[in-house]
Amino acid sequence: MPIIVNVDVMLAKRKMSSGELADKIGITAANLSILKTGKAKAVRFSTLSALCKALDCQPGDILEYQPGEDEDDEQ
Amino acid sequence: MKTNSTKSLKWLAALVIILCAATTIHVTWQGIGSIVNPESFGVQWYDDVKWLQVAVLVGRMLGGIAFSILMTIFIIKSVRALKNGVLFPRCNVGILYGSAASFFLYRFCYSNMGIASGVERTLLINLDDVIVLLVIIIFAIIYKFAVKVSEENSLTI
Repeated sequence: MPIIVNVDVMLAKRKMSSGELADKIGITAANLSILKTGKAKAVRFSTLSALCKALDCQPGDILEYQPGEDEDDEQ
Repeated sequence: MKTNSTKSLKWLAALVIILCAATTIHVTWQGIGSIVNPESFGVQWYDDVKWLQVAVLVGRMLGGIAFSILMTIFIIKSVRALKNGVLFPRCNVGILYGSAASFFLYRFCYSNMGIASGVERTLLINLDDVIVLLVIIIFAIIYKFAVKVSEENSLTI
C-alpha cells in the first residue's frame, strides 16, 4: 500500500499511548494497530478527522505517499 | 445485526438443519433399501443396465447426503460468523461450489430414477437441473466477490 500512516510519530510528539488514542477516536486498539501497521485497506474521513482532532495535527502530518510500494495490490 | 433479524435467522437455520437431517435419513434409507431390498422400493434389476441402475441409486443417495451435509455446514458457519460480525465467511465459497455439484448429482440421478425401475434404459439430462446448477455456481461466484468486499470493508478503519 503506497499510503503510509505515521501515527507513531504523532503519538510520540503528543506523548500519548496507542490505547489512549484508540479511546479518544472511538476505535478498538486492534483497529488502531491495523492502521499503524499498514494493513488497513481504507480510512474513513470520520476516522481521519477524529485522528487529527485527537493528535492536533493535519492529515498530511499522519499520511504519507510512497510510490512504488505494492502498487500491484491496487489492481 | 438487529435482534429480530438474528432471531428469525436462527429459527430458519434450525429449520434448515432439521430438514437437512430428515433428508439425509430419508435418502440414505431409500438408497440402501433400494439395493438391499429392491422389490420394496420398486426397483427392477436388468442385467444389461444393472451397473447404470446401481450408479443412479448410489448417486442419488450420495448426492442427497452430500448436499444436506454441505447445506448444514453452510448454515452453521454463516450463523457463527454473523455472531463474530463477519457477513460472508470465506470458507462458505467452497461449500457453495460443492453444494452445486452435489445438488446436480442428486437431481440428475433423481430425474433418471426410471432407469432403476426399468422404465427407462438411457440417461437423460433435464435442462431444469442444468439451469439450477448454473444458477448456484453464479451465486457462488457472486458470494466470492462479496467475501472480498467484506474483507476489505473489515480493513476499513
